[in-house]
Amino acid sequence: MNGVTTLPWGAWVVLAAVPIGIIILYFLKLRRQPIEVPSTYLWKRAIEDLHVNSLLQRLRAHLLLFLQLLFVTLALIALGRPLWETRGGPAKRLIFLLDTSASMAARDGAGGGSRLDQAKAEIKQRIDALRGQDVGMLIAFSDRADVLQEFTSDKNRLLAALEGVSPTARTTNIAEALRAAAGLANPNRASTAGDVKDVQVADPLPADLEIYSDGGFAGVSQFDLGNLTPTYHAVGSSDAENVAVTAMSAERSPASNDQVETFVRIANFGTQQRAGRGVLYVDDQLVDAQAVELEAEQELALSFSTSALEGSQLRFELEIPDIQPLDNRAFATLGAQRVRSVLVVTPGNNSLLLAMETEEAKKVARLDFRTPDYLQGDEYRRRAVAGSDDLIIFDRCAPETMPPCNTFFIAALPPQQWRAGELQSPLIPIDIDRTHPLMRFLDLFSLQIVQGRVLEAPPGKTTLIDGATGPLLVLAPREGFEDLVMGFAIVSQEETGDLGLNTDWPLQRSWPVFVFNLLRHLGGSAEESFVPGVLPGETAILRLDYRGEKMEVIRPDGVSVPLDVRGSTATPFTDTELTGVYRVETAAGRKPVSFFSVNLLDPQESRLRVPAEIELGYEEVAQSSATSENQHPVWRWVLLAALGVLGVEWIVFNRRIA
Amino acid sequence: MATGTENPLLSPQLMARLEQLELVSRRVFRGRMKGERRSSRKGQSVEFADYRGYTLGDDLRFIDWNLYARLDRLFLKLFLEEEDLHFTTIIDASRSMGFGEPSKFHVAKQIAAALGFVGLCRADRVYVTPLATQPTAAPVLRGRSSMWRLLDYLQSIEPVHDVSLSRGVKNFCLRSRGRGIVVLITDLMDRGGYEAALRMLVGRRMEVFLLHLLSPEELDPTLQGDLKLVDCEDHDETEVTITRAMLKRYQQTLAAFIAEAKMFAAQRGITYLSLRSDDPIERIVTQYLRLHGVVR
Repeated sequence: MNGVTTLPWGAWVVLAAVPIGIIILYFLKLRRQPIEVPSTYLWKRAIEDLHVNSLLQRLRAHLLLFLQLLFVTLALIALGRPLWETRGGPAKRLIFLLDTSASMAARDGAGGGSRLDQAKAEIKQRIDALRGQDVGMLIAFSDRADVLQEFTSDKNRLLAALEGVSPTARTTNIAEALRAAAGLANPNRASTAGDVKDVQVADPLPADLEIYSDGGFAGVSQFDLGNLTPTYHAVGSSDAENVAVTAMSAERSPASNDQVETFVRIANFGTQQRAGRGVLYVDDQLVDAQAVELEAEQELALSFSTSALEGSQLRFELEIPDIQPLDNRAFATLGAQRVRSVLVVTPGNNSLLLAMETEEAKKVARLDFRTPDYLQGDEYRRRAVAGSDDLIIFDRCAPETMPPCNTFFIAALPPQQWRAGELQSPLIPIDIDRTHPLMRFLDLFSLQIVQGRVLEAPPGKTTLIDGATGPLLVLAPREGFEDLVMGFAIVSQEETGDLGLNTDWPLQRSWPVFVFNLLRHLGGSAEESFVPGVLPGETAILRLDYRGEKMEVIRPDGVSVPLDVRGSTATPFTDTELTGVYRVETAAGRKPVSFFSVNLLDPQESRLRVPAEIELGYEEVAQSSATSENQHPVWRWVLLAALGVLGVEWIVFNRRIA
Repeated sequence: MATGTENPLLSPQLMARLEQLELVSRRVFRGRMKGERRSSRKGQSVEFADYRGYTLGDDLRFIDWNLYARLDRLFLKLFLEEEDLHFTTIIDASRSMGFGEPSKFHVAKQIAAALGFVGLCRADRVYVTPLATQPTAAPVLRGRSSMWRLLDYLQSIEPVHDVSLSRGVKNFCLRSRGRGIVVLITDLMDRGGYEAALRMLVGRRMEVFLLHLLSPEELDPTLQGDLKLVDCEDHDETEVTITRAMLKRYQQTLAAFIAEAKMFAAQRGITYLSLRSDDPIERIVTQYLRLHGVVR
């Protein structure tokens, strides 16, 4: 016999007081009607026998009280929703899918605990109820799936695995967990159908998929559950209120290097109006606060303008108490604005040289001009392998292999993947992607281009300038780097041998701005001033100035993790479970090298209202009650018995009166 | 509490029937005055009793001269004396007697009046008194003409005397010297018990009739529910939950109580009679008391 109750312990305390109250009321209420009789002599003698007589007589005197207590007790038992387990039926295979994402940390579970605690308690009951031949399996999932326990009939191992589940701050993606479960339930998926040599060694065995989640994930549409019978056990309330930070960015003001513009976006995911305060801290010092008031389902943007130094840690806190404190804060860092190393390989380009020699450009980049034959030398090869350049500009020339850094090709193509069309003249730009950081503040509609080629870029490209016949300036990603390719030259060798302009861009005001944008964004200095946030559990790609030193990452909880820097400028770091600011330091001198922040800025995790049904593959799974086939709810029968007792009480009461 | 004083104690029809009756005394007592009853005293009646030898000073009129002629000795003829009978009725005037419709007290007074009238008609010495700790103003009556005084006095007494059976009887025994018939009309509902009172009456060598008068409420209670029963005399409270089983238990207790009293009376030569207060007085006196030999 088991019970699944949704009542918090406080309610049980109140309910437990009911029988005590009845007893007290019974004796208070038992004010007997006084009646004068000739003599109580005989009555006394009659009940004297009762006093002498057994306890049974006393019980009979308070029969009504006991019937009332019995009724209340039965009603309380019915409230506990007891389950009757039958020992019949075939052996079952249960797969418990336990959601451990950030939203499961919301404290609206039964008894004031978190949703995860409630889900663990419910799974524990299910494991306890497993019969000898039943097997269970436990998979915890957040943005990844983790098989904590393979199929076993050993309850202790399942319970131990369940005990080890701890909440994470990660986002939710159920697809991987479903694939893991489905792979075990449908082994023939992995084999080739119709292949006579592919012998099925394992029979596909149907299994029950028990999903304990708050449903805070995107539906999985392209998926066939096959032998799995899903059951969705919703954890948490369907009207949970939550206010969350959904975005945060900090950027140096273009006007002044000391000023930092911080943009915060907050959203109310509840149905009630909420008000409070948004506070910005710089290095744990409160610097600014704003009153916020959010209607139901409203979003609000806040901006703060503060002065902050390089390496400052910015923390925004939303002072509106709710059940999910994890998303009420966000972090950002201001990276050190270090000078970037830029290699320019050109047969000669005065326009480029002039644009790069501005005061502003000198602040962000250290320039090295070389001629194309430098690419054949050993020095370049060493340089390319070490990855010591942040940006290489190839003007009308191309390397044999792509260097491990960002590149800008002018009138040339990277050795792989890129293609160019026929030489055309003239080229007419018709559209500019002005939203891209590289193209900010540019006005190019009067641009004239003598000749050039349209470009054909690898997947993931962003066309920055689109011409009448095809893309002219295209940005495309490459293994963590970005390649910018321009289809036309700035200067070209004329038939006379003199250098002449191929376009009037260098004569326009937008040219030095474009070059400065190029240095800031592809050179990486802009990226440093706004360190992008990483979601909890995601891999952070660190671009570090590697100088052969050992480095460590200091987590927000103060624990230092050694960083494996192997020469490449992009170093992955995976230990990002905690939200907050991570500091990269040199192990020897404790010198801060870089910063990055981990934030739970995911509206899906902040939307805490539990949906009534979830979409799994081709079926919709509705929220289920907490019973399984072998557990039958008996509360109806208990309630019926309570009503029976009430009827008996009524009869007894009437017999006493009549 | 119904007193029933509005009802006349005796109806003329009943009185006419009562004139035919007389009180039965199984024993012969000494009276105080000349009456219609044989007395244990020797005296002047027509009924021969005994002989005894003449002593100086005896009345010569009672010498049996025939015997003197035969035996030459003087013997005196003795005759039975006829005297009056001391007839006392004691009414329990405790508050508990006020219950019933008509009240037990009213019925008790009716019985006392009826028996008293029978006694007065037969020139007996009739004395009716309520139980009391203090001497009462109860008159001693003789002759039919005293009937109205008897009724007047009975009308005047009320069931207010909170006196226990034993104390009341003791008080009566201390003050009355005569022997004779005592009729005690009571419900016997006394926490101190009735045994001492009855023993005292028997000890006075009186012929005792115990009329145990109970109301229908006591015999068949119609109570129900959770009650607090309050004793009308000492205000003692008893909490009972009246159930069918409880009523049955009460009936058993009552039956045992009556049986005990009957046994106690039988062992001491007391005539015990159980009466219901809702029976008509005519039936009680002319049939029931007659049947049990109180009157004839």
